Order: sequence, then structure tokens, then C-alpha cells
Amino acid sequence: MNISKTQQFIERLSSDTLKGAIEWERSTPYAGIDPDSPSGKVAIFFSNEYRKVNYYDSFIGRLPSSAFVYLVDATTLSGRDGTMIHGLEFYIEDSIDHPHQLYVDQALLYQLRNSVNSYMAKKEAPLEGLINDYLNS
Amino acid sequence: MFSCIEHFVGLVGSILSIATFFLALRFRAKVMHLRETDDFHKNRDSIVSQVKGFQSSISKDDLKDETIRNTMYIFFLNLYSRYKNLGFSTLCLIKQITKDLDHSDPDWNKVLRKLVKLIPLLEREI
Repeated sequence: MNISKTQQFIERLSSDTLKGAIEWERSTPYAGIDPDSPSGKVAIFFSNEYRKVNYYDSFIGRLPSSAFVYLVDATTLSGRDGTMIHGLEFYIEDSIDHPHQLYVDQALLYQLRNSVNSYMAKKEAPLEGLINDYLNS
Repeated sequence: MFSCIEHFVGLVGSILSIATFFLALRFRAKVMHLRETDDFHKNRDSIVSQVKGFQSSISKDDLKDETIRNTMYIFFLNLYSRYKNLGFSTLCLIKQITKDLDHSDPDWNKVLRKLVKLIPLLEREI
């Protein structure tokens, strides 16, 4: 795929996220996904001794076209020399249960994650308000 | 005569103990330095990408809210305390950025300029 187009896509996702045009959710429901499950999500969210997914900091976004995008925070352990590589992975699902990984510059993915974090903070603000009210009562 | 030799042996023993203690401290510092350097090398790409991500969020997305300020503050505070072996100018810049972000309304242009300076410094770290 054309790299500049992918880059443009992520940049647009980032700005649209800040405008609230894309709905994001945390990937916590996928924690402990069964690796033998036939679901295409296994390829995205599986965790084992060599790969750990941080489900709280991984997100699922729904595009206006109803396609899904996945921003995954994963740490991979090399079985050869024990090196741990931490980074973000990006997937797009063109049809149900058929995700493709897009290889994008990590800096761009971190830019997108900053936008998603800001979106999530706004989304979760009422909940935080409730907790604050209870703590202050 | 014996007392004199005993004192001398005792003195030599004390000097040797103190020297061993300082040698052990130096060895420990050296091991820590090597571990930090190795850890930084393994994580450098991810660290640089995160800094570039912050730079793009501020400059391109105009993201200057409390969430990014908190995230950046924690990130730079961790970086400063985790990698004490970085170059003097790199550590100074990281400390300055952390200080700039320790305000509810930081000067984002100043932070952005410092991020731009920090990226090549981190890339050049041995």
C-alpha cells in the first residue's frame, strides 16, 4: 500500500478523533481472548509468553463507514536473546473478522494515541465526576 | 614489638577493607551504567517515536489539553529518573521540559521548541 496514503489516513484519523468524529473504546473486553477461537480478533489481541498486550491502552475505533480500526499497545519478547520490544500496532478490518496490519511509522501511531487518549479522557470525564462526587461526599 | 606489628597489620587490614568497599561501589556504579545504557539502546526507537508523537500532536493537531500535559509530564519524569547516564545536555533539556510541564498552563511553544531540540540529542546518544 502507498506509504504516504497510509500516513495521510492516520493523520486524518488523529484529527477526526479530536473532533469526535470517530468513536473509540478500550480493548479490555478482549483481555483473555481464547487463542483457539476462530475469531479474526485473535490475531490482534492474543497474548502469550512472547507477546503481552496492554488492553487498557489499546483501542478499537469505528470509522463512519462502519469499518473498524485497532490501535494495539504490545510488548514482544524475542525468544532468541530475550530482547523486549515495546510499540504500537495498527490494524484495519475491511470486512467482518478480516483484519490487516498496516505498517506505519511509530511516531504517527503515538500521535494517534495521544488523540485517542484525549478523546477517552473526555468520554470518561462524567464517570470521573461521579467518583469525585462520591469521594467528596 | 608484637603490639607494634599487630597495630600495623590492623591498619593495613582497615585500609584494604575501605579500599575494597570503594572498589565495590565503583563496580556497582559501572554495572548500573552498563545496564542503563543497554536498556536505553533497546528502547531508544520507542522513546524517540513517542517524543516525535508528542511533537506532532502539539504542532499538527494543536493538542494542548490536560491529558497530553499529564502524559508528557509522567513520560519525561520517568525518562529523567530512569536514564541518568544520558548526556549532560540531553538530561538538562529533559529536566527543563519536565519543569515547563509542571504548570497547569504551560507555554506550549517553548515546550515544542525543546522537543525539536531533544529529538536529535536522543538519536545521537551512544
